[in-house]
Amino acid sequence: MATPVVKVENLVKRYQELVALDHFNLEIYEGEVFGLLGPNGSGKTTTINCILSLLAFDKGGIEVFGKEMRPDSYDIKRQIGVVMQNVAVFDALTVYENIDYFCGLYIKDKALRRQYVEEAIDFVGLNDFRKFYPKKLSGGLLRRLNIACGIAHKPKLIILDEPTVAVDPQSRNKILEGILELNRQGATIIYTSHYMEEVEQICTRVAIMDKGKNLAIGTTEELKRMIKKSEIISIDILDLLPEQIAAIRELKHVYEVTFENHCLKVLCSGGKHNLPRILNYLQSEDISFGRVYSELPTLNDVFLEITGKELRD
Amino acid sequence: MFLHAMKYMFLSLIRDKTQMFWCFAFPLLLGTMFYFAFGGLGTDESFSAIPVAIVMEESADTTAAVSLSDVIRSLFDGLSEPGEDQFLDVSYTTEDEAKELLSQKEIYGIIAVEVPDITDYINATSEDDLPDAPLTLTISAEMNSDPLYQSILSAFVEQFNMEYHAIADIAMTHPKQLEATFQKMSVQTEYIVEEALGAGTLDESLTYFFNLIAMTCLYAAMTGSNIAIDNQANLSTLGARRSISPVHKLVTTLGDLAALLVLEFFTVLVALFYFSIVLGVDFGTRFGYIALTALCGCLTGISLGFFIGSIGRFGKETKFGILMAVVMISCFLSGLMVGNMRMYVEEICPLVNRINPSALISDALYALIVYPSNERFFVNITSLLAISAVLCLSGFVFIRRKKYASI
Repeated sequence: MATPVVKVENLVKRYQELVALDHFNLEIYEGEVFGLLGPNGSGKTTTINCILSLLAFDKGGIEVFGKEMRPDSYDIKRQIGVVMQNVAVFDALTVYENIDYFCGLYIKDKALRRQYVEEAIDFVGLNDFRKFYPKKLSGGLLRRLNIACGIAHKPKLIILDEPTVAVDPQSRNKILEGILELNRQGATIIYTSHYMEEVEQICTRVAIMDKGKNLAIGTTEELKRMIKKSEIISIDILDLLPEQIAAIRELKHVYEVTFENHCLKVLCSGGKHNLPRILNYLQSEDISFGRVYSELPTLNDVFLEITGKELRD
Repeated sequence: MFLHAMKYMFLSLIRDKTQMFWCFAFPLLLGTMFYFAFGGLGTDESFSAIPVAIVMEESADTTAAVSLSDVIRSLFDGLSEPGEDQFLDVSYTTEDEAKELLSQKEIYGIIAVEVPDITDYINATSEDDLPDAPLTLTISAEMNSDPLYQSILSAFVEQFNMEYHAIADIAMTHPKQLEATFQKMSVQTEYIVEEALGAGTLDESLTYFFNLIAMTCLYAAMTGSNIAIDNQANLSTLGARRSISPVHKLVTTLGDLAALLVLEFFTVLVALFYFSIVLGVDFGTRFGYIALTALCGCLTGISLGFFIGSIGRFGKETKFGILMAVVMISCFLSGLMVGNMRMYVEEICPLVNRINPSALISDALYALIVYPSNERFFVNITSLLAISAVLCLSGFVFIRRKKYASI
């Protein structure tokens, strides 16, 4: 197998009594859009800060591009772009100047830098705002500026730490599309979020974190296959007898049945044709029904089943 | 990279309106206030002619008495001739008119002239027999009369009478020496020579301006603190973003500090230009040394702020408060609020004046005005540079930390 772009081994980070990272392991490969999914306080940002050598850790090791990551690993840092959770720009510099400043910390050649800055402005769609000061930008535009400052130097590894927090849906979609475009251009992406929809939408592989531990890792399909629940069928029914509910529970692949407020909810563990099988039973019992829904499990269901709590608790 | 960081920090600083107010406008406003509040301290001592009433009493009806009376009258006319040297503003009046003028405070005193009969001198056998002095002075006894002018009038009358008696005495005892006596009296010998040792003249208000310059230099500390904070990953997001860049922290920090030094130095030069050209404050002629003082003062201010900004995990506001207190105490002890505070401190605890940046800046400027040699000036400059070096190096030791325990 190829050398991972980022390799985290047995990482332990303590804040006095609190264990923020508990023997955390991770391997991220070139070309991936890797999602770090977990609730607030699960250790996502701590992991990122350790990878970037900003935070001292108690135990373990970190390698980036096959080399040990240290604060003075400038050759490695040159290939990394970071979009911080909080916007980090100069208030008194314009959009163009801010991007040029941060790009200038990586690129010495002025002509090349000018080209990169222009491309970054195009990429985040801030062409009409290049002479604006950050205070004049809306929250979404400010986030886009923050992203441009982090990626203008065309890094091979881009780390985005919750870049869509407090962003309107339009800007959010723009940002997510941009991340996929960066990946298409060859960058490996690490994306942290507590929004499971975003992670499902863009990530090729996901690690689910909680309390500093890596609970599960894999593609979204792999993660969903890890859990018992594979389909949730909901049907509006006026009334059901207890023996009818018991009969449904006996159907193939059904492992849990509830009937509340005229709604039958059937959880199926796998297999195909679960819905026709249930509908056939209802017809055979001459039970009339209304709307029918069939939902596939989400990452939240995965998280719920693994931890016993909702992702956003 | 250094120039890249410096360029953008400079742009960032000059666009910050709050920064520009405290840097440029505040010292100029305070200086203007000082000018109006203390501007009279050095200029009120200029002399103007003293209004006085002369009452010529009836003199003896002898040729000698009449001649002497004319001589005295021509003396007063000469002293009250308009011009730069005008000593008296004389009005010849009757006694009643003079008293009226004195009561109305239009004059500072009344000089009554009574020329004695020459035969009284001829008949006198001893000093006790000599007639009374020809001039007598009446001044107002009111408290609000100007004591300076009254003292001058009193001294003038006393000296005139003394010389009159001396001449009369010599005329009686050694008439042949009379001519030589007149010649000696006509030449006044000054035994004290006033000479400016430094490059200018020192008046009391100047010390306030020295301290104002010191305060302007030390105000750089506030921005110096922000620079330290913005280069530390555990104190600001900007610091975090810079820490993950492939540039050594020392390079970006030095670039930022250099930009601030250039701006602050320019600010102090503008303040000096405004104080000397617009307000007419005389800082002397050693402009190169004055500029060197400003540069070293700014360096010390920036270093102070950088050091405070580097230590602890307090926010910008807390560090701003700490620095404001430090700068104000420093300026207070050097005499920004009470002119001769530095002398009190020198008596009580001289060490404070040796390490107080404001006192060192103020004293360097003072030394340029007062002392012809540069020894004291360079002691102050060396102290400022030493303090700057200690603060800067300590600051770098604190921010050089490469990984943080928490962010």
